[in-house]
Amino acid sequence: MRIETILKPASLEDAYKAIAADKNAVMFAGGAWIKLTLKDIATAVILDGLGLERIAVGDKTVEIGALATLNDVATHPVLSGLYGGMIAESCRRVMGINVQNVATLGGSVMGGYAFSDILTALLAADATLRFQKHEPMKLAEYLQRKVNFRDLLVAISIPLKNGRGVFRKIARTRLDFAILNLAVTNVNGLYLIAVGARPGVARLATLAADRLNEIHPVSVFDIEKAVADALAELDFGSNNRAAEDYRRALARVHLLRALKEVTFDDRQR
Amino acid sequence: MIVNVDVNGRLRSFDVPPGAFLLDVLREAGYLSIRRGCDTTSCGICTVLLDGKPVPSCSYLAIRAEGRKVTTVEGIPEEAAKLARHFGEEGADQCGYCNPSLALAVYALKQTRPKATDEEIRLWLVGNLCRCSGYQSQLVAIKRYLEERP
Amino acid sequence: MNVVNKPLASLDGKALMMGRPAYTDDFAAPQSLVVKVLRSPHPFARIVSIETDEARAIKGVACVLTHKDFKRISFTRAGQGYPEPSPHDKFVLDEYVRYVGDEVAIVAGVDSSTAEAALAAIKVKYELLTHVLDMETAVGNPSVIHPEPEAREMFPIGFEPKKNIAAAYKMNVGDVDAVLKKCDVVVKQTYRTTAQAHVAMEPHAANARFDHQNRLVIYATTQTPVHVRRIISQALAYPIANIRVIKPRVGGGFGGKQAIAAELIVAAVAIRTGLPCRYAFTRKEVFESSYSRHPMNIEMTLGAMKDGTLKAIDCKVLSDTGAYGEHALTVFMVTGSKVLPLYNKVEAVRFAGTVVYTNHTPAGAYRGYGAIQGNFALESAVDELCAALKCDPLAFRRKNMIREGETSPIFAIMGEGTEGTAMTMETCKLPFCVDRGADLSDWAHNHPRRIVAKNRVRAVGMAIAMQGSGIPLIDMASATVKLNDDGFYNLLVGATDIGQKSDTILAQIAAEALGTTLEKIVVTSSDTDVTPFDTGAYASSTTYVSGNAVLKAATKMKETLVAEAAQVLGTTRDQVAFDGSTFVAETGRLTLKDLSNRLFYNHDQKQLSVTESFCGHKSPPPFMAGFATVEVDLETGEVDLVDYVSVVDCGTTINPKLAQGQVEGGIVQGIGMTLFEEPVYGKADGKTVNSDLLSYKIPTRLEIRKLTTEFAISYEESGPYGAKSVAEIGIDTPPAAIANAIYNAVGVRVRTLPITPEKIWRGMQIRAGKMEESK
Ligand SMILES: Cc1cc2nc3c(=O)[nH]c(=O)nc-3n(C[C@H](O)[C@H](O)[C@H](O)COP(=O)(O)OP(=O)(O)OC[C@H]3O[C@@H](n4cnc5c(N)ncnc54)[C@H](O)[C@@H]3O)c2cc1C
Ligand code: FES
Ligand code: FES
Repeated sequence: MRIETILKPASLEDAYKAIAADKNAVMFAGGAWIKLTLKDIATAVILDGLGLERIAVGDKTVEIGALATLNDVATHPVLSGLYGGMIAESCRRVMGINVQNVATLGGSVMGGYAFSDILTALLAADATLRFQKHEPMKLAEYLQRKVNFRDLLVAISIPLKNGRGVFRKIARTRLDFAILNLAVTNVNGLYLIAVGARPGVARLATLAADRLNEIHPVSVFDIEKAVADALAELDFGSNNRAAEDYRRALARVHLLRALKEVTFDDRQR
Repeated sequence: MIVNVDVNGRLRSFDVPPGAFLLDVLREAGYLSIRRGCDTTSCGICTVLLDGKPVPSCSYLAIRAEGRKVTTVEGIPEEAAKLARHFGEEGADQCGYCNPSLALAVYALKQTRPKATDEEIRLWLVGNLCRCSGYQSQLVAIKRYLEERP
Repeated sequence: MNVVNKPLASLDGKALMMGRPAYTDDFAAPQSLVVKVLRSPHPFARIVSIETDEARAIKGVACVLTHKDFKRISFTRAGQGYPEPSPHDKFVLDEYVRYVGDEVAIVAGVDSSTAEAALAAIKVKYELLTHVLDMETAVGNPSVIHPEPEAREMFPIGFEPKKNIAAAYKMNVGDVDAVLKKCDVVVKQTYRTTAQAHVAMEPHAANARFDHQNRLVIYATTQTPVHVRRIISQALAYPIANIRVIKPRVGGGFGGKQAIAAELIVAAVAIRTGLPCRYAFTRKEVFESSYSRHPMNIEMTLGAMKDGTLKAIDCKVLSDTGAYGEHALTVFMVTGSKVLPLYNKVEAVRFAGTVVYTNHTPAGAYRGYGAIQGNFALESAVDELCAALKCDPLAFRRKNMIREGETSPIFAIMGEGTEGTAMTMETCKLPFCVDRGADLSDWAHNHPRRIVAKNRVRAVGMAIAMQGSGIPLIDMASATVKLNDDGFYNLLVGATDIGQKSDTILAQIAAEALGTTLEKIVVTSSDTDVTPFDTGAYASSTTYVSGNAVLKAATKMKETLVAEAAQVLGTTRDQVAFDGSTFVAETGRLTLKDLSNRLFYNHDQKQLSVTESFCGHKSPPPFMAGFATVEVDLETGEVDLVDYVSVVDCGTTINPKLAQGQVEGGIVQGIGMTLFEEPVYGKADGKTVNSDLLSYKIPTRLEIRKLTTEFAISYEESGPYGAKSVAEIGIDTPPAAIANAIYNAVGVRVRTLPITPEKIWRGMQIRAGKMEESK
C-alpha cells in the first residue's frame, strides 16, 4: 500500500479536524478492510492512542469505544453475556482470532458492509452510535444515511437490558462470508429481528417485530406469522453465494428457530 | 518514517515507508520465519504476536507497532521446540509452511487458556489454515503440548 | 524391523517449526531485482502493439521483456519425462494471450514499487478474439485457441489443435453395446467436477543468480528439478550444463508445482540482466496463473444383472485443459486406468474421450489426478445402480470388486499417455478395508439413515478407490549412499520432498537396510548439481520408486562395507556378521567407526559411495475404502461431515504416522473439492471472481470434526520393505462417498461438484414436488 502522509492526531478534536479538512483522508481503525480495498492513500489518519479502545459499563448502557477490537468485545465480561452472548458470537464469527485482534467494532460499523455479521447483531441489540460531531444516532438510521456521511465514530452504545438473544450465521465454511445472517432479541416481550447478507446490508424487520410486540403471550402460530411478515417486508437477492429463493428458505427456517429459541424454554420448543 | 519496535526482546528501529506492512518490514530485517500465504488477511501464515496477541502482520501497518512488542517464532525457541516434539510424535508436520505462525498462535493460547478444550483450540486456531495435515494430528499434538507442564 | 514401520519424528520438522530459513524466497540473493509479470486481462486476445519505452525509462527498472525479446520456441511446462505426452503449445511469451492471467510482459526493478511502476507504464493494445469458455462447445469451435504452426505433439496423443482438441483417446475390451443390451438394469448419468485449486500454502516462487563459475543457479518451489533444468534450457536455448536447480523445502505442492511457473521467468531475467532476481507469485497469480485440476464431464454407463453382477462399464470423458495442454492426456487417461479396474470382472468396458482447449486457466497435475474425477463418477454410479437393483452397496462391491491375485485387461492397455503394463494384484486388501470401514463407521446402525434430532438425519455412504505407485518403465529414481568418517552416511536423492516428508521416509529405508539409526543418515534433496537423477515427486512414485532405489543403494553399501571389513579382519565376506555398528568374525571385531576412519585416514584409503537406480516394471496400486458419515438438516440442506473413516492398503507403512498424515491430508483436500471448492467465473469475461483466499474457501479446522484412519496389514513384495504408495490414494473417495451419504440421508443425488447445501435443498424441493427439475 502507498500512503503519502500519515497523521497521528493527539485528540479526538484534532482527528475530526483532520478528516473534516480533507474529504479524502482515510481513518485507520484496524485497517484490515482498508488493506483489502485501497492501494493508494494520500492521507491516513491513525486513530490509535485516543482512548477509543475502552469499553465502559454504565448503569443503563455499555459504551464500546470505536477502536475496541472484535476480540475485546467477544471476551468482555458483560458483553459476552449480554443477550445470551449474541454480540460476542457475531464477533467470534468473523474469521479467526488474528483478525478479531485487529478488526474493530467501529470499523465494522462505519464500513457498513453488506456481508456484515456484526451489524446484524448490533441492530438486534438496538445500538446507538456516538459521533464526534453528529448527535447520537440509531444504527438503523445510520445505515440508511451512510452514503456521504462523514464523521468520527467515537463509541457504540448498547442498552443493558435483560433479554434473550440469538445470532446465526449461515456460511459454507467457518472462514467464509455469510450466505445469510440473522439476530433476534426478546426483552420482556419486545422483539427486534435483524437479517443481513440477504445479500444486502443488515436490516430490521420492523413490521414483523411490531406485530409480535402487541401479542402476549406469543404462540408458535404467532411466530410463524412473524416469520412470514419478516420475509414479506425484507428484500432478498441472488449473488455468487446463493440464489434468492434459497436465501428466503434459509431465512424462513432459521428465523423460526431463532424466534422460538428466544420465546420458549427448551421443553416448549 | 522511523518506527521503534521491540522484536523478540530487542529494541529495533526501522526506517519504513508510511504504507509498509509489518510483514514486509520484518522479513526485510531478516526475520525470515514470517512468511506470506495470501495477502488478504485470510490464511494466518503471517501471524506474529503483538503484545502477546496473534495478529496478521500482512495487513498491520508497521508504524502502528511503534513502542509495542512483536514476537516471532525466533523469540520463543524453547516453546517452538516443545511443540515440534509433539508434532513429530503425531506426524502432524508436513510441509511446515504453516508451522511457525501456528506455534505463535498456540503459544498465545497457552498463555490465555492453558486448559482449552478441543473446540476452544479449533476456534482459536481456525484462522490458521493448513492445506497439508488434515488438521486432526495437529489437534492431538497441540493438546499434548498444552497438557505439558513446565 | 527397527526403523521402518516406526512412527519416528521427521528429520526437518523441528527446524521448520522454529522458523529456520528453508523455503525458496528465504534464499533470494541480497539486492535481488524484484520481478513482476504483466498479465492478460482478457481471456483471448492478440497483442497488436506493446509500448515499453516509458517503463524502461523509469529509474531502477532493469529490464522489460515482451514476446519480441524471445526466440519462438514451443515447449510444454508440464514437468514430465522427455519426450512429454503433453503438447508443445507454449512460448515463454507470445503475441497471443489465451486466458485471464496469461503472461504479457516481464519486468524487473530494484524493488517492488519500481517493478509495479514499470508494469503500470506498459501500454498494450489488444485485438479481442472470441473466447471459448464452455468445454462443451470447444470442439470444432470457429475460434481456435492454438492456430500457431509451432504447436505440436511429441508422439501421437490425439492432438488436433485446429479443432481445439489437445488430446484424445479411446479403448475397449469386449462389445460394450452388446453386453449393455443384455443387462437387466442400466444406469447412465453425467457427473461434473470443477477446477479445484491446489492452495499449497506457499505461493510459487523462484529466484536466480550467477555463481562464482558464472553458472545460473535457481532456487525454486518445484517438484521436478531435473525437468525444470531441461525445460529452461530448451525454452531459452541456454546450455543445460550451465544451469543448476535447487529445491529447498517446499511449502506444499500437491501436483501444482510439477509444472513450471516462476522458474523460467527468473531465468530469463537473470540471463538478460546478469543480476540476481526474485519472483514470488501473489496468491491471485497462484489462482489465476498457475494450474488447476482438470474439470471434467463424465458420462458413466453401468449395466448389471438382477443378481447384482456388474457386466459392463462405459465411460465417456470430456476434459477441459484450459489454455495450454499440460497433462491433458495423462490426467484424462488416469480417469480410466486407475478407476475402471476396480471392477475387473465385467464382460465389457469402454473408455473414450476428448481433452479440449478453452480460455481458462490451464489445468495441470493435482493429487489424485484423473482418478478423483473418475472415482466420483464411477462410485456415484455404482450406488445409483445399487439403488436401482435394491442391492446393498457393500454387498455389491464385495461381489464385483477386484481382489488379490486378480488382474484387469486395462492395466496392459492403458498407461499414462502410452500403453500400459500388465500386472496382477499381489496385494489387495480391499475386502478387509470394506469390512473394517463398515465397522468403524457403524454401517449397520447408520445405513442408510437414522433420525438424530428433529429435522436432522445421520447417514453413511462409502466408496472404494485405487491408485498406482509410479509410472512403470518411465519413472526412474536413483540414490547415492556415501560413507563418512566416524561411520555416518549421506543419502543423496533426487526425490523431491515437498512436504510429504519423503526425506524422512527414504532415510528410514536407508537406515533399516544399513542397520543403523536415523541420526546417522543425512539426507540431501534436491540439487541438480549434487543429487542423482529422479523424475520427481509425482504419480505417487516416491515411496515405491525412489524408495526402491534407496533400498538398493543402501543394501549395496552394506555389502561393500562387509567386504571391506572382511579384508581388514583377514577373512571372507560370508564369515562377517554386521549389525550396523560392529563387524564380527571369528578372526576379530571391528566397529564401523574404526573401519571408516581407517578407510579415510590410515590404510588403503578410499571413499565408499554407492549409486543405484530403480525403474519399476509395475505399479502396484494402493487401495482404500472411505466411509463418510454426514448429518443433513432436512429443512435447509445444510450438511455436517461428522466422521470420515479411511481404511487403506498401502502395503507396509514406512512411517505409520506420516502415512496417516498423507491419507488425512488427502481426505481433507477431497472433502474440500466435494463440499466447498469451486472457482467462480464471471459469466462473460472469463475472469475468476474468487481468485483469492477471501472467497475461495478450503476446509478449516472447524469443518473437520473427526477423521478415523487405519491401515490394512499388507506386504507388497516388489516394494521397499513391502511398501506401496500412499500420497494420492486419500484424496479419491470423498466426492463419491459424501455424495452417496447425502443421497442416503435425503434421497437427493448431486452429480455436479461441489455439493452445496443449496443444491441439496433444491433436490429436496424437487423430490417433494415443490419445484421443477433443472433450473
Ligand atoms: C479477511 C476478512 C474477512 C472478514 N470477514 C467478515 C465476516 O465474515 N463478517 C463480518 O461481519 N465482517 C468481516 N470482516 C470485516 C471485519 O469484521 C471488520 O469489519 C473490518 O475489518 C473493518 O474493521 P477495521 O477495524 O479493520 O476497519 P478499517 O479497515 O480500519 O476501516 C474500515 C472503514 O471504516 C472507517 N472507519 C474505521 N473506524 C472509524 C471511526 N472510528 N470513525 C469513522 N470511520 C471509521 C475507515 O475509514 C474505513 O472506511 C472481514 C474482514 C477481513 C479483513
Ligand atoms: S498472509 Fe497474512 S493472513 Fe495470509
Ligand atoms: S503443513 Fe503444509 S500448510 Fe500446514
